Amino acid sequence: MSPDSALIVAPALVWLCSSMSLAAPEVAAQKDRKWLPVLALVALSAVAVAASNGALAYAVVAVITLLHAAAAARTSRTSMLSMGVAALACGVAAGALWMEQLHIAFGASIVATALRCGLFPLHGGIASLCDKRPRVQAQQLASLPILVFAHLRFVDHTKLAFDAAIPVVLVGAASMLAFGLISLAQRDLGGLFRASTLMHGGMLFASVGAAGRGHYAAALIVAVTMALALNGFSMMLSALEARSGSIASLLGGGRARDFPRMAASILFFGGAAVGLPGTSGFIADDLLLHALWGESVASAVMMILASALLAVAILAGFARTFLGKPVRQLAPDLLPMERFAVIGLVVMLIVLGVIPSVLVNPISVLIG
Amino acid sequence: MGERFMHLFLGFAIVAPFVCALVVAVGLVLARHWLSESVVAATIRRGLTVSVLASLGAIATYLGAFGAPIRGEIEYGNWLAVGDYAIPLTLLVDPGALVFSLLASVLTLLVARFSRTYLHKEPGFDRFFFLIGIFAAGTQLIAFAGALDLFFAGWELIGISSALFIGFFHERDEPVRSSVRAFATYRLCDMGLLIAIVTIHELLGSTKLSALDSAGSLPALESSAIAALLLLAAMGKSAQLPFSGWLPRAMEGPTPSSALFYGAVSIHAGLYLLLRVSAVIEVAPYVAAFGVFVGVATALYASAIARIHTDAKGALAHATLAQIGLILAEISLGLTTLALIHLSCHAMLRVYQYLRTPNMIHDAHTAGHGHHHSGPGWLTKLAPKTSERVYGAALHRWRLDERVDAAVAPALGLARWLDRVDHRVRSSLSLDARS
Repeated sequence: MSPDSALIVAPALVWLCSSMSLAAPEVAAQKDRKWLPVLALVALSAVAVAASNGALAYAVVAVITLLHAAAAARTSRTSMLSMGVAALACGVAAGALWMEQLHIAFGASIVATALRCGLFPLHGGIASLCDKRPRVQAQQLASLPILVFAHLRFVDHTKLAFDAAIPVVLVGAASMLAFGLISLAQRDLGGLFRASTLMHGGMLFASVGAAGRGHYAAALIVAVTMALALNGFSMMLSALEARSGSIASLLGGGRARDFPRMAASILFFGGAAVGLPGTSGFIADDLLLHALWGESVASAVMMILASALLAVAILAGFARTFLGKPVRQLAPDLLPMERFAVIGLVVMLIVLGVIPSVLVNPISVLIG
Repeated sequence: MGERFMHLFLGFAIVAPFVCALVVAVGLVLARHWLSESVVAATIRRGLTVSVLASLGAIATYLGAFGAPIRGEIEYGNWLAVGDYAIPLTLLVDPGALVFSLLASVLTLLVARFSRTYLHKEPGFDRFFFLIGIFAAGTQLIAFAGALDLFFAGWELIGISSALFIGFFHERDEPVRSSVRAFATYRLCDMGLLIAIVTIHELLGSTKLSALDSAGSLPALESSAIAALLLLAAMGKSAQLPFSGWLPRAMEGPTPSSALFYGAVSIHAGLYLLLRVSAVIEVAPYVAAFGVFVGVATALYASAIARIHTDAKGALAHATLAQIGLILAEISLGLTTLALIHLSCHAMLRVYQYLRTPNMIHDAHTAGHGHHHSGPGWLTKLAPKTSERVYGAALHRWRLDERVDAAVAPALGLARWLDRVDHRVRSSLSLDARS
């Protein structure tokens, strides 16, 4: 692929994945569809990925993050503060890039990434979003690949990025393992979703660290997979909540008989998040594993262990909620629009899993 | 000409069941009404039939039926290439691959045909056939994989479908618990395979199976570490000690899936992995010795339990395990041809026995129980006290599950402690809590 084509294809694909993740929950929602903020985010994302100027890209990402902070403000001040600081860090990165201070831009971008990934112990904001405003969390997760793309494209080529790679990777891997373990202790799907999101946040942070030494493709495919798979998972949890009440207090299982499509979708998205073959999760795990192994063997082992623990926790959590003695459900299984949204995300995950070069090749040409 | 045919045959053997499973899945998600049993079964059966024919075609091409014999690695390019890292789409055609592919595809097709009647009007009929399709694709992928990354993809598909089959009757609690337990064992042991794959890539520069021939050039510690990790993965998948506990629990699944997974294919997948990487095992004598020890110990453990087990499928599961232990010992001793023959014959025999189990019980009830009281065994004659102890231990399956649970308990305790710490950290830093 020529650099000119990559300049168009790579940003377009990142934007497409991000936009699909943004739109899917709105398409699936049965009421309270809020298209205006979603369309604004989609438009801003397009500007951010298309910008050939780093300062502009980061300024737009700062605006996107500020919109997430505003959306979070209604229910959680912790989340608002967390997103607000992340927006500020993006703004600092934009300013630093404007003044050609690459080291400062890199540091600010890493801070923004850590906050938006929910890196331990900065995870209060993201954890609160997962618990209280899953729809806003879905949006911030969907726009995360845009931040990662900007980071890889504009601030990740410095000596500081190279030198900081191993500490960043180790911090991310430790956070990943901690939340992988914590996922085992969760008794409800809400807690499982929170732990899973934070575990993947650690994974993304580690991959961004490894990108400092040239593993760009791993970082981007991890971000994209995280957005698609976790948003699908979150979307199904919202669908379940709309039918059965708060997922934090769901007792007993037995929902698979009346909600078979929902059960299968949750299992698929959960599987994709932990590396199900045939989905982009498998490629993301494979690429990241090799990237981490090259930088720090300990972090690679932590990643494998965390992923295995989360996989077991997801199956156990799924079994607790959906399997067991059937409980008659009065609500219907997935409705047509929900199925439509599910299929969109599933197709993206499978296409990127079966033909990963569609995304990886342009990224390698553009950034590598 | 021959090479083109081989490309097609191998591709069809792997992709056909996968595509048919996807077609069924899409149909189930989109269809206003559930697809009929006959449509689902026929779709999957077509995929499996194509897979069998493609496997036979690959054998014919290997033997030279379409020009010069085509053997060794068949390249399809790279699945993924980034910088100096690539996942090669390389398949390997050799006698071991062809035997395992044909064995797996034929047995899967037979079991699918059997299940069409056996599971008629069962609520999970569609799910069963969808999973059979995924499983068939996974087995063909491991059969022909010429690179360990591809092998791992097939390995995972087998593991996931196996766990879902164990929990097939998901309305009862016990199958669900057994399913999670089996999956946890798989995932933890799969860590061995994953770490081995990355290590092999780093040390030998490629994950192709052909690269393993140069494992002898590695320092002893490194080759032993790789061999030990591969053995760990095989022990988990083939239920060798101390990971045997999940196998009797896996009998909670429907009989056809028990036959296919725990009699025929899945339970042998770990052994097949060791056959594919035998070049590494050969250069790691301590690991090979450990493999012999584990295999023999599992055979003794399982045969003691099989003799006193009171339910037919449980006894059969332990009898299977005993033979698997012996095959592991054969592979570890370097008797790979014998192991492949043993594996194939064993798989065929067990499928028959598992599928016959419900009938045997029925026959026994209609014909009346024939109690044949044999005299005391050799162990009772030689050492009556030891015999009593073995009998008592076998009754409790050597309390293996309890010991594994005790070993895992600290990790679960750590998880709960970390959860509490996380909760405290979030509470103390939360602005919401203060407001």
